[in-house]
Amino acid sequence: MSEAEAKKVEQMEEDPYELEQFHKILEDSKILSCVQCGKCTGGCPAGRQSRIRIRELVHLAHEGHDIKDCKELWLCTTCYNCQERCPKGVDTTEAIISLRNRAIRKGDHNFPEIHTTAITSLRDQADGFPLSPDVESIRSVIGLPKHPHDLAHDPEGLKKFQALMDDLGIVELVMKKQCGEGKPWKYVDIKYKPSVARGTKKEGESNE
Amino acid sequence: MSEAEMQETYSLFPGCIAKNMYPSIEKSTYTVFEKIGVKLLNHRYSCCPAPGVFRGYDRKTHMTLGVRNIVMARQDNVDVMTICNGCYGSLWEANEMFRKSKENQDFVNEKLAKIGLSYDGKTNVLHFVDVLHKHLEDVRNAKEVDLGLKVAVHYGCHYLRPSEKHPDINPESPHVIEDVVEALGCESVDFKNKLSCCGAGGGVWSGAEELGLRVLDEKLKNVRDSGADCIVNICPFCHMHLDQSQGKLEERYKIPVLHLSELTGLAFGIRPKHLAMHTHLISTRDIEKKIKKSKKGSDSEE
Amino acid sequence: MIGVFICFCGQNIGGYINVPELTDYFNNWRDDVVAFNTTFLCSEIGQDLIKDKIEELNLDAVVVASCSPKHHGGIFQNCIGQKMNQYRWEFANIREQCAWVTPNKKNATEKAKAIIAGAIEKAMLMNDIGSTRVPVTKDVLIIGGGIAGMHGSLELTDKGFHVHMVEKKETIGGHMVQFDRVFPTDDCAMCTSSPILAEVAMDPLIDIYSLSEVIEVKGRPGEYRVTIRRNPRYIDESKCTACGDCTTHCPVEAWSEWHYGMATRAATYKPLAQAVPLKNRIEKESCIRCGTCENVCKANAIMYDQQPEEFEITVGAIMISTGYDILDLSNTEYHQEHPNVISHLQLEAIKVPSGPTAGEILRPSDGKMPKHLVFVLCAGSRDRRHNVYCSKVCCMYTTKNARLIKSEHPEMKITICYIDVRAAGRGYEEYFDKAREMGINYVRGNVSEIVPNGEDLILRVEDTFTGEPLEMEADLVVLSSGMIPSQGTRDMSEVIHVVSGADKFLAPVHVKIAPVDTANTGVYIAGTVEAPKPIQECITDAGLVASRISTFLKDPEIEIDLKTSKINPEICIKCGTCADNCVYDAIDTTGEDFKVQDVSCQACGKCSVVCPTGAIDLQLFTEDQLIKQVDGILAEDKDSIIGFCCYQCGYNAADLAGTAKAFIDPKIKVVLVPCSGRVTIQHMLYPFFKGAKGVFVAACLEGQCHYIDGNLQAKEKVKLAKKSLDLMGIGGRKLNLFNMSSAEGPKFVAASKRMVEICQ
Repeated sequence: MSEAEAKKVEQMEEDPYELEQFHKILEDSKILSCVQCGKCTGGCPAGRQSRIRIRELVHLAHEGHDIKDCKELWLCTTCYNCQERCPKGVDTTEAIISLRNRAIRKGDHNFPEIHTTAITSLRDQADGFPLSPDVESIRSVIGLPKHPHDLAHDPEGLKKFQALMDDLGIVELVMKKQCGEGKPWKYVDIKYKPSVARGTKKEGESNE
Repeated sequence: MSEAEMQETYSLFPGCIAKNMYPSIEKSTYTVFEKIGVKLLNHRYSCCPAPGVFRGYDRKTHMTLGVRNIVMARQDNVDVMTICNGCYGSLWEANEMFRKSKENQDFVNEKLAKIGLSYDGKTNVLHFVDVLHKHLEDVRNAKEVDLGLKVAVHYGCHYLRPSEKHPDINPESPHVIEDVVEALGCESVDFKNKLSCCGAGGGVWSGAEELGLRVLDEKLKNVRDSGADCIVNICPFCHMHLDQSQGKLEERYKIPVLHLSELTGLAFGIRPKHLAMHTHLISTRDIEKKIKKSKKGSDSEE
Repeated sequence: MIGVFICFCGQNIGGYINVPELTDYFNNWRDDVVAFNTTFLCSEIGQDLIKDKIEELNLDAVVVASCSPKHHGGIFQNCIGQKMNQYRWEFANIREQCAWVTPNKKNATEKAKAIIAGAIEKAMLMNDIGSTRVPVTKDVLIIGGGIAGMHGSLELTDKGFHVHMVEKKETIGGHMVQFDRVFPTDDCAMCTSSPILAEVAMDPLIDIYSLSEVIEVKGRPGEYRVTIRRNPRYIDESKCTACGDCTTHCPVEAWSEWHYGMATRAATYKPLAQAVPLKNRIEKESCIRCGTCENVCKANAIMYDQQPEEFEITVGAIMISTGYDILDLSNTEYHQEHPNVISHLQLEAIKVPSGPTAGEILRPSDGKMPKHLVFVLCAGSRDRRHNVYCSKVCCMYTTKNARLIKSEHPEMKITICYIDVRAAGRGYEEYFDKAREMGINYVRGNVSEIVPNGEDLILRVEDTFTGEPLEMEADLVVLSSGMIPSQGTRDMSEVIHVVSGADKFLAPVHVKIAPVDTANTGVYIAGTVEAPKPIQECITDAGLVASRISTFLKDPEIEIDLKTSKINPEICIKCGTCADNCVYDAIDTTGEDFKVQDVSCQACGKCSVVCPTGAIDLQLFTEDQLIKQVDGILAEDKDSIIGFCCYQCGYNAADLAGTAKAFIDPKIKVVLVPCSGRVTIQHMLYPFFKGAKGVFVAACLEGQCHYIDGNLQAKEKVKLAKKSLDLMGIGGRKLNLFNMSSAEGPKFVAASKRMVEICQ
């Protein structure tokens, strides 16, 4: 075994987000129980309006395909209809979240660019939707404190929160890289064809 | 134990949108819960963090930040009450993930220790509609106006599902919000696909706007067909999407959208002006007029 | 003198264990033990060796050291029985539980020594076990008068048995007479079943108790005492002529339960023209007591004040055919609460020519004929939230209904949504082929939700061929709702203590080779009481049950081996604890001395565990035998971990671990018990006093004990014994109970591993 190969094996053993290890995480969502009945896709509110096909994603994941750069992953509204109704107890929504986690972890994803602003907003202001001056004044008018009693307005606490986020390394992780098809997408033609062709199994080399 | 300590007390988790975009929801929540004799505390909370986006980034980070919030309430030994399905889903999920696995407990506590915190899993996360439902009698007593509105109830996904949250609620046929709005003198109208998603969750609102709008369009069409005066929701995120995104649709539905705490506030006699109802993008004027009418009706009867 | 016979089993044992060394060892072990070996003990040569030596050496008992007793136990019992009492032997399982799980030959040989030593000690205490003859009653009880019950009753009366048929409803006939037609022949269900109904009604050897329930069963096989409650009909059966005058004049209109709410009925009615018994009935809930029927009845049959009555009958054997029911899918994603979402039984009620629309397909909400009729297969079946199992018949009856409707209304669009079509059976695939050729639209996809849309419905389903989600508009939806055991079926597992599975259907002794026998001798099951199945299989079952019953009751007496429990009247204090703990009512407490009713006793041994004086003991597994067996094992290897394994599950799992050639630490030594409920606290503690490293009990899965609750009793005992071990400073953690099914070899391996870890 060459040094590079040895290193790769070592990495694989360490990083659960490497494809083969990652399947253990997916198995926790019980995807091995899937019988491809289509109950998930049938009632998917996003699937009716876009290309996301939960059954297909579960099937591809089940077959060991690497679908981390698949745009459909980011079209799920996490309504949990599919998970709730799955006759075989597959945690489909959780599987989608696991797939998203891996896509982020591998930096090889295809997620909407705007999502990166959310993470910086969370770190800077401890909120996904920060307070605007307009709302400040409305708050005062209706008898609420101008500034909510929250973490954003507690400098000491905010500092600790930021330390926690830095320790978790989440900002770095999300900002790391967006490759996938090469560009992050801003506005997506949601009716596009599936971005994963069958037979791409074991392709899984990251572009790094 | 002093009387104050015996009073039912929760830590209010307002969530980003209620406090930073729809203060009317936060305001009415305080008023409503004061009137039904429930004490609400404030704590220094961050974003829950939002389940769709942040949980999609990294589950463990999401859990850790969620638990940090729960710790704030744990320190005062009270349960957390959310007024948003997203916050509810996030914090509930974080709490469950923490409770279920020793590995997760070790992970979170190791991270929290560095900022001087720790958690033991003993705090519960509640949704305000369950608390209101428990106080249905108090709600009836505190009500000053029978609203007389026909409302389209919107549950929102993360309140109902995964159904492990509520073993006693049938996720295909719930009857919680309906009970509350009926107590407020409203009629809950049945409409097609009532329990469907608003289309905002999972990062779709920001990331795939067009998809979010299409799902919303489907929903609003069904609401309009029902002849409801307004939509009543229990989630500021759904609320925002239902209210703000209506204007982006080709079809002009102009269906007013009210958070249940706002509706309850109006029934408790708070004047719409004091709730800053004008912050809603879809005007609630027609509803306010109808309520006034109902009020006059009930006044003259007396 | 004890003779030990050790088998090489070719290389199966000989390859792993040093058999000659073992033979030498036991030849020099003790003066009263002699040992022999041979290549195949089960062969004629091997059997002759045993027989010759018994005669030649005048052996008192035999130890057979070979394969599992589950394998060739019968052969050796038969062989030994030719020369002495057939129970004077004990086996030592050195193949599955030693040779095949111990890779090191030396270790395997040592382990075999301990196993054989234990068997010898037990064999020393073997007694003759006799047999007895008890009288049997030739009457048979059939519970449930559906197609299985009716067919079984006719088979039995043909053979000369007297049948008592108990039916909960007002008429016999069951589901079949509610159907329009049956697949794959499209025969009219009523035309095929009404001759059977009539034959049952006229058979002088059949007593029918309608509106009746079995509420208690006592006694023993061959002589069961059955208490029946007959609920009031409020009409005197002996007077009613079923003229129908009362029905015509009754002012009440209520939903008909017989038609699943698809039709109405009066408060006094008969559900169908061919009802057996052909009598009217007043349904009390809907009756307003106006007195009209009383006035118009010329036969004076109305009896408003009729009361339920209870009476007892005695029967020799019982057939249970209490059948199925279906899931109610209201308030689920199927929204059966919508008037135009109906179950297939409701569709049959509409479709029968005698139904509310004279057989026309009209939807309930407005009586219009549907333009698009959708059938939803697997509604609640193969679904962890409802029934995990497949209901087996839905694919076919749905195809049948679709075909019949399509042929009458070619213009109607008919769609069937399915996961996969299961059409295995004579003529089934051909039947399904024809359906597609007729233009019935099959959509492969599990319906995700049925969305009410006014009076119409929208079905959301993925066409899994194209991968596209569809929204189908329909004006009538028929759910192929999953089948569940009927209330009567569920009651029977309580009343007669018949074991039921996790799905609550009654379980046969062996699903493959004893499909209608239950663990209760003389009690048999037929039809959908066991699992969903089509009519022809119900009839096959019923025929088999009739055959099994006629075999069981063929002589005026039955002979039974008395390997049962036995009471020593000298120490029995007649406290009745054993009787309270016996689910088979096998202990007769009425006489001067308490006695075990040998025919009822199932030989589980739970009685001997609770007896405060040790007066009652199980003859094949006596208290002393089990203790001596443990002594024997520990004398050879005091580091052993003793595993008490129940015959039904734990022992079988241990055998399977051997068949799979898994590794099991040689410290593990299995002691067979009939049921984990036979293991006393004394058994659990004693090995520790003799130096054992650990003790475990391997029992059936909870809820699946073959003797109802033996494993639960064992669980309590283990809890108590753990406390004692803690107090004694030995450590309760060294004693454990593991639940496993007879098929779970890997679980036994894991349990053994766990024990070895704990008991280092």
